[in-house]
Amino acid sequence: MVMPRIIPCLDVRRGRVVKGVQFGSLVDSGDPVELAARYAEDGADELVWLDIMATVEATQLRWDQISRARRRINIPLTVGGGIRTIDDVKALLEHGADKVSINSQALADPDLITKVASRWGAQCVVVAIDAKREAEGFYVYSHGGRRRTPWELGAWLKESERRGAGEFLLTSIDRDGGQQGYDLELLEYAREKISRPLIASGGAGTVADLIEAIRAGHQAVLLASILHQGQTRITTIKQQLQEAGVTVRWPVS
Amino acid sequence: MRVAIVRLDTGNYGSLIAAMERLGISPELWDAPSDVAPVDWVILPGVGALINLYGRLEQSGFLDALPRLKNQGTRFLGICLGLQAFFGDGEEGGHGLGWLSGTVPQVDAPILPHIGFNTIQLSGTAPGWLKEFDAVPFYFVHSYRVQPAHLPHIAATTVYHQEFPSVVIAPPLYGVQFHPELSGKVGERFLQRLLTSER
Repeated sequence: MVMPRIIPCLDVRRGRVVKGVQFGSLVDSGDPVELAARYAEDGADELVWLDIMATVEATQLRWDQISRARRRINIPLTVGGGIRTIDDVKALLEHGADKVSINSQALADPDLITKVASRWGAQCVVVAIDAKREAEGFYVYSHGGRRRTPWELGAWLKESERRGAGEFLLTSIDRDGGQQGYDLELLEYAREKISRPLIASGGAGTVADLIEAIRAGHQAVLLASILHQGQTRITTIKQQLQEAGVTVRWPVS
Repeated sequence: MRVAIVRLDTGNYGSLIAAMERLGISPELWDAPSDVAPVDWVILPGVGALINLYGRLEQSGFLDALPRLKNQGTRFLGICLGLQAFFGDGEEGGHGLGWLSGTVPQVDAPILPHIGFNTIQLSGTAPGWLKEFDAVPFYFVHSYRVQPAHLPHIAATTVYHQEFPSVVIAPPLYGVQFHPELSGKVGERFLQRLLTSER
């Protein structure tokens, strides 16, 4: 069977890696190209590169960095942040991205999902969703978790899938950056709504958190702050997963 | 070694080109049949939707140009959709090259695409150079699979809810359902061994 995917996330802003704690205060921690290369070398199964700002000025810088990263890494690369048009997608793919992640713009213009999927295939489109727990259920937020949308999570998942999303990246706003474990209730709720792969995001603090999510049936897990602050490395994480009886791609050779 | 990549759409060929360059190969990029020249290998990469791939093969004129190369004995590597294009018709519709008889059905699984690293298991017909890759994980991302009519063409299989062919060899045609260019160091070694293998 397919092995769980251990996916480091590079949160990039103005060409540097940062990681927000609950989308708040940002801490600078490195060159994304160097970090991407190190993660790939260490045994990451894929990389996600999210540019938090992705302004017009930052676009050229991002393209250059993606091209440089592509020459050095030999695993899949998903790039997201600020993608608004088919041309934005085309440029990122041409600079070496394998997939694109669309978040706010998919909510503003759901037809973008359809267009990207029909041109490059569903496997090229990752729909990223930031969700928050409310009294009546889980709701979708846009603009980096700052703006509430009218979408209930299950409804948006189904609409995105119908439009051609090939994969989902689901972040718990409540857990993000807190290192208290993934929101398994949120993930379980989402898993039942869709028949596409789902990447669990938000809250990984220890290898035990990863094991818990994987054992609960979540086959792809996103890691961010747990790695950026030098607490641990992919090599250590994969070794510990193996020792715990979770079959992962390890050692890589 | 001269290697050409058939480019049927703008978009993502970066991973494949980068992997080739790390092996010391500068691939030629073919956008139209007029680019066709004598080479050792032609790569049909796995980019896009199958129905678009079929459509572009027809529109581009490659559907006429590629069979000539194949008939001259030029070796072909089909990656993912490129492998599927060796066959005739897909469930999504459209026509492939029709070089191998068989079908391209959807994978029978509750969650698709099949995404991630998964191992390949060699069959009895696997060539010697492939032996070191038995039980080794490669990166997959696909919703369709091939079902060759001639079973000895299946050199390796993989299991994702069902068993399906992951390496198909029918010289001069070589196809992989996975993406060696996205499979880490092992993937690069696989490309190296395949491209330099004995005929």
